[in-house]
Amino acid sequence: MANTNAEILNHFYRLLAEVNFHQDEKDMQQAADPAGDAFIQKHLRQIKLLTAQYKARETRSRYKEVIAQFRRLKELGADQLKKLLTPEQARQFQPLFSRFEDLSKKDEASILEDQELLQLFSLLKDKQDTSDNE
Amino acid sequence: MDDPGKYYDANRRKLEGIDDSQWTSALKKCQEHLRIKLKRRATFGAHAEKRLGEDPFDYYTHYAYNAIISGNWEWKEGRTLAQQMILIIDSTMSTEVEKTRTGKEPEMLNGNFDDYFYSDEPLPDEFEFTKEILINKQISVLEEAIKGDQDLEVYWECIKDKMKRAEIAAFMEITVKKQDKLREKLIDKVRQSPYFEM
Repeated sequence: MANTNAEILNHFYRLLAEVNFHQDEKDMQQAADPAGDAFIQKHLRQIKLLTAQYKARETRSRYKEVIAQFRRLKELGADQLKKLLTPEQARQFQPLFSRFEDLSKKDEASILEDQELLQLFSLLKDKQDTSDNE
Repeated sequence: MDDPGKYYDANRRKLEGIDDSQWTSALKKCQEHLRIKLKRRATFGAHAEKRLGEDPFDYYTHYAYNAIISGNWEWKEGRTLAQQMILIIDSTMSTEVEKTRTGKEPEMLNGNFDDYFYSDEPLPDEFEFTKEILINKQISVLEEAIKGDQDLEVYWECIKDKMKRAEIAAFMEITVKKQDKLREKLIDKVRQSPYFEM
């Protein structure tokens, strides 16, 4: 039985959707479409904003986590922490230990950018976890 | 702003490799997908968009990238950013329609896409008279537009026989890429018609 016009048109729209889904983006025609361009620009801005908001949220959350970790380590005291390290590691990180004693609020704000200090935190946390498990 | 979902880290790692031009392509594909879906709906019924309270292009597109950036929806392996966004859009559109009809949410389709685009929303048994006029008019606009173009005439016959993308390419003995170009050529011919406006 021949397909009705409604069935043909319905199939046509479905085929258009299938082709659009699979079509290689590089092969898509770049038609001049001012209304479409405004749509793209508007959503690109929103995507950037949304991405930045999630990144800021992630940074805040990471900062809180690192500060909490730092405070836990500080409670142990520099001498105790040095015992967790090998002599070579203790020598390497010696200059950083003084920061455990006098890290100000201002310093805390820049803590996420201090790669050396973060490395030391990570090392101490691992050592502490290992020593807790033993 | 939604709380980060369980796929936040995995999606973020993938998104780090996506630049503006890739986002632009994905947005264009979503826009084209919505054009087709909304045109089909405008022709066949289900005006769920009226319930949204905002432009459906903006609503569904924003929903799709927000779902990926927030990590509340998994960006599955093997799918491009555009494809994942389109599947999120479809699922959300179905949910809107389903909510209207039954108050229930539909199951998300997974995996094989061969039949995916042909499995949703079957046509109702009866059409209103005005819809039938619109449908017949769209068909005649299409047939008038392709008259004299042999490739498009064969392409249209394949569509009338309800062939899918790969079947048309095989029947016409052309690559799927060439077949995709025919689809663009056909749309270009009818885009300006007031019966399509795509």
